[in-house]
Amino acid sequence: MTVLLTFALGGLVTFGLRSTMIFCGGRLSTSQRAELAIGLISPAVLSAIVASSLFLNRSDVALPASADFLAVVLGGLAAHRTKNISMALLVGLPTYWLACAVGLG
Amino acid sequence: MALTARLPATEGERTSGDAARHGARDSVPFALALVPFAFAIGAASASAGLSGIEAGFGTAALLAGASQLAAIDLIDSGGGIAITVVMVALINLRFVFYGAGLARWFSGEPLRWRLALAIPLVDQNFMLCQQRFAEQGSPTWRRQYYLASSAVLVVTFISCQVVAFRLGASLPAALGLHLAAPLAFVGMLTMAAKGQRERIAGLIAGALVVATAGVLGAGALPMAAMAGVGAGLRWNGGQR
Repeated sequence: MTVLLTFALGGLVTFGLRSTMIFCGGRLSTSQRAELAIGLISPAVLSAIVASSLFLNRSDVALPASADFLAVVLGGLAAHRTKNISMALLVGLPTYWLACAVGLG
Repeated sequence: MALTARLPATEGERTSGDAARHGARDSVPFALALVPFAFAIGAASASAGLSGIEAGFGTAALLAGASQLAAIDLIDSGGGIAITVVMVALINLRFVFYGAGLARWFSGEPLRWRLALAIPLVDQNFMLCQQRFAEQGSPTWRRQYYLASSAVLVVTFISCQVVAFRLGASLPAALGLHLAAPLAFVGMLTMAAKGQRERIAGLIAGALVVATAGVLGAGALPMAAMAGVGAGLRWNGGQR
């Protein structure tokens, strides 16, 4: 029930964001600083999520398994070099399988 | 990404069927790029132990991959409703800008139509329509184009998630599906962190979430993200 409620509230908020400008008649006037701040939200949020998935177990700091760490680092490098988000998965998962096969899991 | 079809040359070409065909065809490359991402979300839902109804409802309610993945991650780690909703709102804040485009393109439509059209508004169809509608198609042509491109994207997104979710529940842990979410996020992060300010924001947010999680619990995530944004804003490129 909690999961459904979370998604329902998230969905309502998201629809509110999508439709805000429809009610404002499409007029968007924000300061340059506000636009700059909005552009910084994605890297900050994504980085916080990646760091917490890798280095936190609930609220405790925990070093990730070598295979996990290697997969995320190499997946990230592949995405960065190819400028293709999908490459993170296409390189990261095989890296994980390989690392586990050689005993790093 | 280049569009696959030529722009309609005359008003006579801009029939509903023509618009739908163009919309569907133009969205195919975007839909193909969505496949691995949708698989990651489906796999992450299965890995987090969500039921089919919960996973399906999450997809339908949000229709926004990055925030759905973040919500699944937070639900899995016991983040709580408030923290998860705040993170979803932060990630989806960009939709306000997309909504401004939608409001302009469909300004002649009744309010209920405009609200309905806002439901499937995502990065991909916004980018497509921004390029297409610069040429001023008729209102009907625009609506049909938008609906067709959105349909292709939404159907691809949902069907790939369903397949991955069903497979994910029966696949062994050795496949590493628990990494689907962090890998998708790190891929998005490499695209988002394109300048010095963005890298500073990411670095500070990542370091702070680890440093403060013991004290702030689930609240560390939005706090660290906001601190990262603040640090990025203050960054002046190392100049005094």
